[in-house]
Amino acid sequence: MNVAGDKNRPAAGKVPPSGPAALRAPSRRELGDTFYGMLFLLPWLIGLVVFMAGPTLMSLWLSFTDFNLLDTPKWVAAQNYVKLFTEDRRYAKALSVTFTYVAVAAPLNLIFALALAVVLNSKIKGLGIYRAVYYVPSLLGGSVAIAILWRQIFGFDGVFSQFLHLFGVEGSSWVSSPKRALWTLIILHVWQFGSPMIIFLAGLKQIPAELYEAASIDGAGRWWKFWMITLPMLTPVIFFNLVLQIINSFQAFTPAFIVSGGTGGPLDSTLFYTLYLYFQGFGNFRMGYASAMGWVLLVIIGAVTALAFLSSRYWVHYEDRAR
Amino acid sequence: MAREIQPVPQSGGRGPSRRQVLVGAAALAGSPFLSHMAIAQQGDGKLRISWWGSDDRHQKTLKIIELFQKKHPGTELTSQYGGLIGYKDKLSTEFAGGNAPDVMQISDSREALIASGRLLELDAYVADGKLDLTNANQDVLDIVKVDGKLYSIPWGLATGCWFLDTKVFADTGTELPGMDWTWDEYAAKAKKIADATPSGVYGSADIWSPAGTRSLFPLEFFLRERSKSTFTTAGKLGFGPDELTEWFTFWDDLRKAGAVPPANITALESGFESSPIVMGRAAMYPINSSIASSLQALAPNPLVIRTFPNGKGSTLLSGDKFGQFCNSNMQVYVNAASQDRDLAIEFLNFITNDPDAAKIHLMARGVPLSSKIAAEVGADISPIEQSMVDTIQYVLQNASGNYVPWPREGAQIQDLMQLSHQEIAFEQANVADTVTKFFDEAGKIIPA
Repeated sequence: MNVAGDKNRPAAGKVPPSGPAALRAPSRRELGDTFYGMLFLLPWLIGLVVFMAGPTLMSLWLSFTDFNLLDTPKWVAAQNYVKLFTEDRRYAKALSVTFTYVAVAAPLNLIFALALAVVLNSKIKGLGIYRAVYYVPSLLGGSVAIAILWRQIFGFDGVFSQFLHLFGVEGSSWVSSPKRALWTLIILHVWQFGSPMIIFLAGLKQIPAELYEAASIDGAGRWWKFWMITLPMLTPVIFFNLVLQIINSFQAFTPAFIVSGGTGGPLDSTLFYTLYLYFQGFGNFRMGYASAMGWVLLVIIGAVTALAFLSSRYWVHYEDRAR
Repeated sequence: MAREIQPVPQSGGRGPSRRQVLVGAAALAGSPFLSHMAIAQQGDGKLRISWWGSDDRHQKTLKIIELFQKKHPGTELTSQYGGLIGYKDKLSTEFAGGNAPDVMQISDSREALIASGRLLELDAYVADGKLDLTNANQDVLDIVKVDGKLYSIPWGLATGCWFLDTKVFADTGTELPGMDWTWDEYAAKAKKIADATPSGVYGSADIWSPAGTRSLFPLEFFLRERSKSTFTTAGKLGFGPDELTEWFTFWDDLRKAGAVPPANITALESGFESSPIVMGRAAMYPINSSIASSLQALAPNPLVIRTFPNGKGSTLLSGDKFGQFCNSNMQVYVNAASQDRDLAIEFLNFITNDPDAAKIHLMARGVPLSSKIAAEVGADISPIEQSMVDTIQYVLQNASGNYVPWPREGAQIQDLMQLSHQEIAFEQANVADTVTKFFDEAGKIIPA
């Protein structure tokens, strides 16, 4: 496999054009290239160290302190972590809300995205327009405006309850019901199926047509072909999307913040992990506690992702490995 | 899945010289820091002013700032404003990052800022006459002091109050109460209106309306009727299960009687803009008086303002004292690290005593602190603002006892109180269990 940067390195396996190229000192020109390469990378590198790595490590230290953002942090050892798991009832609630959200919203989103990708992969007229249209929610979905719109749609006299009314279902407000408020956020998440849909489409395009032809000759129907060819061939893409979705939904913040009016309510039913972290850090100025929450979240996401990778051995089929 | 990536053809033309690239990169990387240095080194005459509010308040404040610059040539004031959600968070972050505004409006959780020396103490400026408070209301100044020291100027006096919809009162034949109304009267009127109006309209909004009274103040008023308060001066809880049971039961009974809306309607509110009194779902609504003109602009019918109901002569929530007091939830502070403290003090003096500024501002943040100024703008104000003035005056005349400031854990107790109200309202738990749970949880936040 040939990678873009190979030109500057002595190519293995090829006969060097003249002399022992591998031992030759890099030319001025090559040094210059490295210099410019590093130079152009520098803004990103500085950003990584100063704005990501530094604060991340700092927050690890802060998680063992009592820090109110203004005074010097006080070392309290593991007290924050102990409190999280033994005393904080709202933390337990935030965990359960977040896990429910991830467990329901992420798979639903993928099913939706896959279904539409399959439909859009066929030959219909004006396909480009459909693809664009279905991608639009993903561009808008994370925005504050849509979250406000959502509050209206699922509000007391909202479009949604009027729609239900058509079918004789007594409408009520979904955003202000502790049982249903989380569902409005799940629906909002599922609605943003654009990105995984595009990735699925790309994956679908790569499935060799001869597999379908062969199956057709053997008399397989549409559903059978989907089940026996499309799905297995797509498992690496599904896996990729699944991991992204899990990580994304663990970190969801904006929709819950806006739809719940900045409260995580009603009755903490939309108190996402990140929302509670924000309340503790910036509402109650318990930065040490919030940092501890952040690190626990990191461990949780790491563990769930690791589980996904472990399970992938049993259900993800890589073409090259099978052969 | 990886496909072969073709090597990018090397460009034949001459690229920029190393020097050009370096200069460009330095300029790019350095620009934010350079401009930041410029701010830090700024000379006299520059202030950054920060506040929250609705559009009405923004427009008036911007005009006042313009007027200040006109009257003080050579000064340059910049503004930073928006809604209340996120305001406090942003300000704290700015303080932590060392770039907080010079002059700012703050409501609660100022104790931590004062304790860490971030806010300027104003007593010296009052003493040497730079900050003229001769006509200011001394009781309110006493309330806003911390440990006997003045750090802030109330930008308008305010109090927790009830807004009443006069049209619904008239239509249902319900008599408007006086300032001395009792909790009994309140409950009776709420029930009467609920019975006389079509279903879906309630007598009063609930007390835990998410935006309205999302604070401990209503409970505080009730406790003060009995010479207690939410927190003690030592920072512990100042009330017990008996008072809380009585408080929760009062509201639970009204909810069950249909006098206040069920929980899923109350939870719809995401700001006073979507409150039941604006949506035409309730005839009474509790919130801070400072939003009077903004609320009236949105409400369908003319409103009037009343104090919180009294415990004196009441069987429900009885008490022998007048519990309410004036606060100022819009106090103005000066950053102790401001580059131009004198100008900042000058600005505080300007918003307190300048008659031209007061004519622009009117009651956008409540009744002016200076009685002289309040009297001067009196002729220009609207009916709802007049109602606000009357209410504030009534409270000032009747209030007694000192306000006990919140300890650092106050915000967490407030969250817990809000959640407890919701658990009862959404029928997740009964009053007795909720009270037990409240003190259990509160004991973890503030060990007794």
